[in-house]
Amino acid sequence: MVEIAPVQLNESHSPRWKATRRFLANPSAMIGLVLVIMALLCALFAAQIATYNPIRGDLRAYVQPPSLEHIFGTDDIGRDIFSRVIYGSRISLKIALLTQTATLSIGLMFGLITGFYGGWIDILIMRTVDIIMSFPLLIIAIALISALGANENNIIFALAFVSWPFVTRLVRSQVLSVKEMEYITAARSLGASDLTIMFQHILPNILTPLIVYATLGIGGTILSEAALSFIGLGGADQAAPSWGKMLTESRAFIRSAWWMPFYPGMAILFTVLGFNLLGDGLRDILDVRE
Amino acid sequence: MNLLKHGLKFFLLLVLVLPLAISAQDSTITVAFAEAQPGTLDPAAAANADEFLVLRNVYEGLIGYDPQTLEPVPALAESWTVSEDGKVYTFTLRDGVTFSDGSTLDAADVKYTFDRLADRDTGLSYTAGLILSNVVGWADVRPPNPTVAEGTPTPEPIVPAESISGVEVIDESTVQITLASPASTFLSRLTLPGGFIIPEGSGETTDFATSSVGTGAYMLTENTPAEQVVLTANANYWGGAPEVQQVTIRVIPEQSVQLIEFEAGNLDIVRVPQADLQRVQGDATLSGQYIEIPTLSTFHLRVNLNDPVMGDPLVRRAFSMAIDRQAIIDSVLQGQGVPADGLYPPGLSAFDPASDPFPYDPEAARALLAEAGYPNGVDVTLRTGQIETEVRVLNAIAQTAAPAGFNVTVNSTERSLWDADRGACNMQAGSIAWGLDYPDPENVAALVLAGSSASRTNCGYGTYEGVDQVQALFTQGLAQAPGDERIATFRALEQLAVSELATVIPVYHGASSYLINPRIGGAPLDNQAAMRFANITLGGM
Amino acid sequence: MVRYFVGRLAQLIPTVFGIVTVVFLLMRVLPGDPALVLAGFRDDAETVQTLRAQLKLDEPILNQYVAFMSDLTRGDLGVSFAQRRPVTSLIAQTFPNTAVLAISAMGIAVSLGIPLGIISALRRNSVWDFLSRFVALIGVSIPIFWLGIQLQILFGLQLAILPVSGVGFDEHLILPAVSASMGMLALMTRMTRSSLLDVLKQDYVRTARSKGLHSRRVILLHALKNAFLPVLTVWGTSFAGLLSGTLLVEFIFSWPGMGRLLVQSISARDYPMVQGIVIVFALTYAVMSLIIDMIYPLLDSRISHG
Repeated sequence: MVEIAPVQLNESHSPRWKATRRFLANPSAMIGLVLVIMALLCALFAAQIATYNPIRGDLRAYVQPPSLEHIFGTDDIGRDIFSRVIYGSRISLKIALLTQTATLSIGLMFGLITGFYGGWIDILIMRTVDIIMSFPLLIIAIALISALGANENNIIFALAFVSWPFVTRLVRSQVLSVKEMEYITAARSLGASDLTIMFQHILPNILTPLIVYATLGIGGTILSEAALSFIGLGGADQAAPSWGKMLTESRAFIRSAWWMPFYPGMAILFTVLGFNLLGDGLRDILDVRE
Repeated sequence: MNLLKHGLKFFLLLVLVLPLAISAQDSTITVAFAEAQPGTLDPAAAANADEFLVLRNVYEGLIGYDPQTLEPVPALAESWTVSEDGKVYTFTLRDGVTFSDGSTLDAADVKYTFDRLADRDTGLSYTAGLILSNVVGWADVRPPNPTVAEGTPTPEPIVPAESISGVEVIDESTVQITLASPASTFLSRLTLPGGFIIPEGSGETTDFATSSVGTGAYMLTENTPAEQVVLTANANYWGGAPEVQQVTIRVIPEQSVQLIEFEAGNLDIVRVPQADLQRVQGDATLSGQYIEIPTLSTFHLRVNLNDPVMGDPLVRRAFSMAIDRQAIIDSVLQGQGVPADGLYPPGLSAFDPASDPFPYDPEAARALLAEAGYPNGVDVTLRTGQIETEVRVLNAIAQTAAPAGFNVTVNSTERSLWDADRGACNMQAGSIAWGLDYPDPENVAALVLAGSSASRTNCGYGTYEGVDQVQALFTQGLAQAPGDERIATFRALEQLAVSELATVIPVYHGASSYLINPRIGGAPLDNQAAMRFANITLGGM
Repeated sequence: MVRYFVGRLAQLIPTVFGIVTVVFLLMRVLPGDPALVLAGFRDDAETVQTLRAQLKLDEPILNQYVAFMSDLTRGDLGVSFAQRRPVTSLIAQTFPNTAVLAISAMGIAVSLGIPLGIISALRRNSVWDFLSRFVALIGVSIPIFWLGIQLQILFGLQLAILPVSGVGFDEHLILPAVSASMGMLALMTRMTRSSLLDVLKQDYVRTARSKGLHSRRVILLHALKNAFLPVLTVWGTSFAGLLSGTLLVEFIFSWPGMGRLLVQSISARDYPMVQGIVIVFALTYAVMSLIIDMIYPLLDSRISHG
C-alpha cells in the first residue's frame, strides 16, 4: 500500500493531466463542452425531456405563440415546437456527426497519401478532387439523393461525398509544407517506415487546422442539411423532425410567427457554438503538446 | 417684357407638363408574377398561370368571358350563330381591329391560328387539345403513331394533314368551325389562351415566343428574363385605350418578399401568402386593402384505383370520412375556402350545397376500415410536388385521419418525380389542386374518368366498377344544352362517382387573397382571379 | 516554373471534359421526364409525345451525347427546354449578375475577414478578439435566408433606405452581398486567426532565440506570409461554398443569377440549361483553383511540384 503513493504523485504531473487541467480552466472551452453535452443529452433522452408528441399535433392549436402550455409555441399543424426541437437534435446531430466522421476519414486518408507520395497518385486524386469540387454542392447532392431516395443515410452519403475533397486539399497542403521539415528527414534517415512517418510524425502536426475544420464542419453540415430541405430533399415530411427541416418549413412564417424559425435557429446556433468552442479548447491542448 | 413673356411661357409649360409627368408616373402599376416567370409567350405553347397573365392582356380570342359571370362574351368575334344540330359555329369577325404590327384582323388570321394550334409541332399547350379535339379534322392533323409489332418492318408514319379541316374561312370576316359532336362547352373553351388569334405567318418569326403581336389592350415592350416584363398600353385598342399606361410585372420568386415589397409601396397588387393571412387580416392598414376571391377550384386527392389498399371503395369512403375539412380550412387555410363534398365548386350551377356524403366521423371511419379488413388501421402514403400550401394541407389531413386508424405519411418530392410517379401509377394517392379551365362542370367531371388530361395513364380510372354508368352520364351531359336537365345529369354523376364510389376524394374549394393598393380602382381581378389591366382605373392619391 | 503553369493549364482540359460528361450522364440518370414537366400539370399522352419528339429525348443516348459534344466544341450549348432560347444567351444574361454578387461577397469576406483575424490573433482576449470570434461563429450558424429576410425588413421596410429586392449594381447590391458573404467571412476570420496563431507560436519561439536582432515587424511579416498558406487554401475552397450561398441569396433578393436558374432548371429537368450552367460554374472554379495553385509556389518555395 505504501508503494502505490509515489506512483500516484507521478501521475498528477503527467502531460495528460496538465492538459486536462488547462482545458478545465479555460472558460470558453468549458462552455462549449457544456453546450455539446446538453445537445447530446437532448438527443439521448428526447423521449423523457419532450412534453408532447413531436409528430402528431392538434389543428386547433394552429400557430400559437409561446405560452405556458407550449413553451416554444406551436407550428402550422399544431405541433409543439419545444418537443420538435428536442427530438430534432437526434436527427441533426446524427447526420452531422456521421457525415463529419466519414468526411474526415476519407479526406485524411487521401490527403496523406497524395501529399506524401505525390506522383501519379497525386494527379489522379487531385483531378478527382477538382472534378467533384467544380460542382456546386447542390448538384451532386441533388443528383445522388434524387437517384437514391431522400432518407438519412443517403443524405449522409451525399454530404460526405461532396465534403471529402475539401479535407483532402487541406491535408495535402499541410502535408506538403510539413514533409520537408527537418525532423521528418531526420526520422527518415533513421529508417522509419512510411506509415510510421505518416501517422506518428506528420499527422500530429497537421491536426490543428483539421480540428478547426472539423468543428466548423459539424455546424456546416447542419446548415447543408437545411439547404437540402430548402430544395425539398430532406426526407418524408411526417417523419421525425430535424432542425434544418424545421427552419425550412417555417420560412414562410418568418414575419407572422417569429417563434417558428427562431427556436430551431437557436438550437443550431448553440450547438454549433458548442462544437466550435470545444474545438478551440482542444486545439489549445494539442498545441502545447508540441 | 421679354423676361416676363419667357417666364410666363415657362410657367405655363410647367403647369401643363408637370401634372402630365406626374400622372404619367401615376399611370404605371407594378405587379409580380405568381410563381416564376413566363417561359414562352406563344399562345399555342403557353401552359402556366404566369404565361397566361401576360397573354390575356396582350392577345384576344374570338370569345372572351365576362369578368363577373364568367359567361362567354364577344371579343374578336362580334357575333356568332350555332346550327340546329349544335355542331356548326359561324363567327362574324369584328371590323377594323388591328394587331400591334399594324396588320388588320381577318379570317385568314383565324384559320392560321387554329391550324398552328392543331399542328403537333407548334400546338404544344394542353389547351390545344381542349379547344380542338372535338373539331372535325383533328384526327387527321394529329394521327396516332402506328404501333409496331416486334420483328415487323416499321410502317411508313402517317403524314399529318397540313390544316384542320373543321375550321373554314367563309369570307374575309366570317369563320366557320364544325364540331364532331355537339358540345355546349365549346364557346367556353375558346376563351382559353390557345385560341388567342395571331397574325398570319407571325408564328415563324424567331422571337415570337418572347414578344407579342396581339390585338389586346396592351403590347409587350420589354421582356427581360428573370427580371421583369413590361406592358405598354395600346392606344389603338378597338375597345378604347386603357387608363393604365404601363404595367411592370416583376419576377420575385419568394412570396414573402412580394409581400414585403407591397408593404414598402413597390408593388400595387400582391397575392397574400397563406402563412401571412392571419397577420394581414389582423393588421389595421392591410385589412382595408384585402380582398378574397373564391377560385373555381377543387383540391382533391387522386387515387391509384389499382392499389390494393386505396383500390377498395370502403377504404376510400373511410378516408373521406376521416378528413376534418372544416378544421383544416380554419387552421391551415385561415378560413379561405369551403369544404368540398363533391366535384363542383360553388359558382357553378351544378354545385349542390345540400350534398354532404362524408361528414367528419373518425369512429365511423374506423368501423368502415375494419369492415374493409383493416381492424388495426392501415398505412397510407400521400404524394405531392413540393408546393408549400399543398404540403401543409396534406400534413393536416394526416393529423385528422390518425384517430380513424390511418397512419399517413406525406411524401413531398420534386415536381418532376411526382409527375413521373403519377403517370406510372407508382403511388397510392396524391394531391391535385385542380383549377377549372372554364366554368363548366364538365371540366371537373372529366377527372373521374380515364383519358382525361389529369391522368396520363389510367391508374384504374377506366376500369373501376361503375365506370360505365359514370361515362354514360358524362356523355349525356356533354350533349345536353345548358339548363336544368344538364345540371341534373352532372349532379347525378357527382353522386355516383364521388358520394358512392369515392373515386376521388375532394377536400376543399379554394379562394385566393389579395392585397390591392388603394390607388387601384376598377376591377383588377376578375372572378377567375386573373388580372385584367385594362379594367383598372387609377383612383389617384 | 513556366512548365508547371502550362502543365496545370493543360490539365484543365481533361478536367472540364470529365465534368461535362459526368453532368450529361447525371441528368439522364435522374428520374423524371423533361417532357412531362414541360407539358405542365394538365398533360396528356398526345402533348407529351409531341414534346418528347421535339426535344429529341427518344434518340439513343449515344447520339444525344455525340450531338451534345459536337455542339459544345462549336460553343453551342443548345436550346433550353423550358424557355426555348439558346442556353448561351440565357447564361450570358445571368452570369454577370452572379459574378458581381459573388465577387462582392468575396470582397467583403476577404477585406473584413483577414484583417479581423490578424488583429484577433495579435491581441488575444481583447474586444477585437471577441468580435472576430463572434463574427466567425455567427457567420456559420446563421441561416442565410433568415438573415436575408431580416435585413430586407429592417433596411427595406422599416428604415426604407435600401431596396427590398431586385437587381442592380448599385444600392441593390448591398444587402445581397452582405448576406452572401457571411459564411466565407466567418471562415476567413477564423482561419486567419488560427493559422497566424500557429505560426506565431513557432516563429516566435525560434526567432526569440536569435537575441532580439529581428524587429517585431519583420517577425510579423514573416509570420503572415507563412500563415497565409492555409488561408489561401480556405479561400479557394470556400469560394465554392460561396457560390452555394449566393444561390439562396438569389432567391431571396430576386437576384437573377445563374444559381437560381440552375435550381429551377434541375427541377424542370431542363437538361441543356443544367449542362450549360454547370459547365460555366466548373470552368469558373477550375480557373479559380488554377490561380490559387499558381500563387502557392510564390509563397512557399519548399513545395515541390511532383
